[in-house]
Amino acid sequence: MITTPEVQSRLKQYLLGQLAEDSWEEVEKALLSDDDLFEELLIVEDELMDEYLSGKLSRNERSAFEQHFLNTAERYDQLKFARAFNRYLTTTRPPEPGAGRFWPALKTQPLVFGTTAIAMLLIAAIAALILIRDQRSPQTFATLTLTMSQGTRGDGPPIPVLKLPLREDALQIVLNLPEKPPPALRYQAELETAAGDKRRLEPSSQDPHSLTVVIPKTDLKQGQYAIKLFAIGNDGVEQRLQGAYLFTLE
Amino acid sequence: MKKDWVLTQEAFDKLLDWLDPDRDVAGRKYEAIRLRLIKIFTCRGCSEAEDLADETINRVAARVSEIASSYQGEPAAYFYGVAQKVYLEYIRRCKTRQAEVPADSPIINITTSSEGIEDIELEYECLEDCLEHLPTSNRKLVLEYYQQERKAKIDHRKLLAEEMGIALNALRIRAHRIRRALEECVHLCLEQEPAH
Repeated sequence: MITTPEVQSRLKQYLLGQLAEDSWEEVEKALLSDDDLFEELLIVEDELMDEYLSGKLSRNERSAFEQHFLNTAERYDQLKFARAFNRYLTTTRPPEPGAGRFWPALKTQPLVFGTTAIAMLLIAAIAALILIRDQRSPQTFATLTLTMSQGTRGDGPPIPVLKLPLREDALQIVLNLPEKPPPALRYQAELETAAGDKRRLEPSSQDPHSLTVVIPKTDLKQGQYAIKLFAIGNDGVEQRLQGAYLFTLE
Repeated sequence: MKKDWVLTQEAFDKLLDWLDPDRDVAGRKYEAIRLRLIKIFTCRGCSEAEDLADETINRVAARVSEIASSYQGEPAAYFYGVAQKVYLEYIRRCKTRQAEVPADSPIINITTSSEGIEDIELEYECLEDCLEHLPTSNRKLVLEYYQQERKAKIDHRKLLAEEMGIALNALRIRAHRIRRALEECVHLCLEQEPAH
């Protein structure tokens, strides 16, 4: 069997239960005797789950996925794995392909190789020293516990103020979740300055009632801040929670 | 399900002989057919896919003495015919149990699943552990292959395939096989962990 977009599309329809009966019988007979087609089905199955999790399926496909595809415990387990795998991929970045071509090219030119190797060793040593000095994991934390404010800065509870510089290595912020948060697998936090600059904060821990984020001491500047929260559901779709966590650094 | 006929060693041996005279080849064919029957029943929405596949195999084995000498063509096609009957009986049983539902009702609804954060974290830890135990080249390949988004992902994969000196589809298959092995590892890991 040669893999073509048509074959892939047909298998996708089969998995979603969107083929007519005579067509799916034809596919099934082929699946029993064609090793390559069966492997292709397994690949399309994985790709379908990835598309579902990244919100790339059409409304119709999405409905078929939930009603037809996801109707056995095995499939549900497969989806759980795909979700964990996708989460891992979004939080980890491996080296770009092409990076490995540098060394084979250098090996053909010994003089350049030797000089470059010495230079790189020096750079690596300096970088390591800087990393050890500046980027070691924080050991001590100042903790700020925040509750979501629904209003603007003018109303609602007083906004917590923290004095800089910190004596600790980092600021640990515990974000209390709203009483009835939307169903979510996990949360993402976004820090916004008064000037509108934004950056994502990766949660360091999470429990059913709160989410904790850590900001290194070196990243703290005076100003007013708001942290917005995004719930990421089973389907991988982000939903912004109304309100924000406000605090001021002086 | 009909449980009154039990697969004997003799019937199983005859089934293997029918699949192929070479016992190793026959064993592989048997495994392949069983795996595919399970997948077919799963694709049809049957919650008892494994049982239905085994029932199909048992019925074929029960008749293999009669058909082996006269049957022409791929045995897989015969299995398929029997699987169709097993499926129709299954549907009838489901209709009897739940008159208004034509096939199986979903046994787990993703939106009402009680899966907690602890389970999710446990699966994630297993995944990290399994990734650690992958050979470095496989880990690099599977992570690079599934990284990126949309067009960037396609360009990224082309570059990766070029770097490895293989066709894009060969890369796709290789990445998929590693991913399946990873999934299997995570399931084994979860089975070994105490339930939450």
